[in-house]
Amino acid sequence: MHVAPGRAAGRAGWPSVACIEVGGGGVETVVLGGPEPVVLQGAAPPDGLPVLMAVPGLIEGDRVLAASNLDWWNVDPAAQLGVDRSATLLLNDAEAAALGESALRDGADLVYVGLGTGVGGAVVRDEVVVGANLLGHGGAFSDIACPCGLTGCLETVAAGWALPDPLPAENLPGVAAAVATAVRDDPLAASGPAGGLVVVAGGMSRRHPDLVAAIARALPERVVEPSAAPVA
Amino acid sequence: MKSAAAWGLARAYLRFGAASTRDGFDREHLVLSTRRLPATPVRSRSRTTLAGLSDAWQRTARGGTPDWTRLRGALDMLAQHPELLPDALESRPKPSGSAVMDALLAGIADKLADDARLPRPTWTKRIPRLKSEWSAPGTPAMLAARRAATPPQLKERGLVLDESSLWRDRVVAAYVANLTGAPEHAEPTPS
Repeated sequence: MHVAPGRAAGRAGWPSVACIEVGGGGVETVVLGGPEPVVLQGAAPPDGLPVLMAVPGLIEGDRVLAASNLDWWNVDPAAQLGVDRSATLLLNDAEAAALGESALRDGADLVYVGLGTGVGGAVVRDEVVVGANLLGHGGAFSDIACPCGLTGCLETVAAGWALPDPLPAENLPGVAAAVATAVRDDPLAASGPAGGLVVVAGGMSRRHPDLVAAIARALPERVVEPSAAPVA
Repeated sequence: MKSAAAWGLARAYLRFGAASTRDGFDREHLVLSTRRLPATPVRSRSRTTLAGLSDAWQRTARGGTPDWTRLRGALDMLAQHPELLPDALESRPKPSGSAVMDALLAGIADKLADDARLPRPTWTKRIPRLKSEWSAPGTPAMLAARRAATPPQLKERGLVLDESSLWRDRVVAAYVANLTGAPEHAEPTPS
C-alpha cells in the first residue's frame, strides 16, 4: 500500500472516517480526523474507521445500481473493492463533491460544476443538495450526438470525452461560454441571490487551471471559484 | 486528492451519519440520492446519551457482548461535540439486564466526566462493582495488554477493556500522526 501524506492542512472538527472515492481513473482513500488529511492509494480504510464512499453512479440503498464508467451494475461497492466492511454512508460522487465544496466553505450555498470525463452539476443550499444531475445533458450546444441519446448536450462541447487532450488554449473560451450558458439556462442553477457562488471542479479544471478564470469571465454576474479541496 | 468528496461525505456523516433509520432519518434531508445504511445503528446527535445506550447489549450464546458499534458511534459523537456531554451524562440508564453493561456505562460516564473536568454524575455511584472481572475473550497476552490499557474508571468497576476499544478518535489521531510525522492532537493510544 502506497501512503502519500496529504500536504494541505485539515480542519479541526472533522470526524475520524475513511472516505473512499471511486472514479473512472482510480480509487483513493482519504482519512480525515487527524491534523492533516491522509491520502491512501486504492481502497485502504484503516481498521476501526467507519467507511464512507463516493461512487460515480446511481445509488440505491446500499448498492450501486449503475456506474457505467466502472462497469458496475447492481453491486455492493465494498465487496467490489475488496473492503472488509460495508460502507456506513454511500453517496453519488458529484453530490459528495458538491457537499464537500460547501463544507470547505463553512456551509456556503453554491452551484457545483464538475468538469471531468463527463459534466455533472449540483446545487447546494443550506448544506443540502437540492438539485443533482444538472447541466451535463440537454441544451443545444452542438449537433454532436451525446452518449445519453440526445444531441447537442453540454457534454458534447465541455466534457473530457468530447475534447482533445491536452485541450488547446484557444478552446478554453468556447468551453467556458458553453458552461456559462448552461448555468444561466438551468432554472435551479440560475436561481438564488445575485453574485451567487459557482464552484468549478473536476479533472478538466485541475489540468487546465485557466479554465476556471475563463468561466469567471464568461459568467461575470456570479462569483466563480476553483475547488477548495486540498491538493495532495 | 481527486475532489472535495471526502469532506462532503464527512459532513454528511457528521450531520446524519449517527442517525439510524429507526430514528426517523429521512434521506431527503441530506441529498437526493443518499441512503443511510443500517450498518451503524447508533442514535442521532440530539439523542446521544448514556441513558440511550442501555439497550446496547447483545445477547449471545455465551452470555452477551456490548454493541461496540453503537458505543463507539456515541463516543465519537461526544468527542466531536463536547457541548452535548452534560445532557448525555445526566440521566441514569435503565437497567440493561446485564451487570456488565450497567457497569460499563457507569465507567464510561465517569471517564467522560473526568476527562471533561465535569462533576461525575451522581447515578454512577449507585452502580455496583462487578463481582468478578469481565473482559472480552482473548489470549493471556492480549488480556495483559488490555489490562494495562484499561482506564481507571473502568478498572475500578471490574472491567478489563482498553481505551482504544471505545475511543477510536485517539486511535486515528495516533495513526495519522504516525503517517505524517505531525504531532498528535490527542492523547496517544495505550498499547
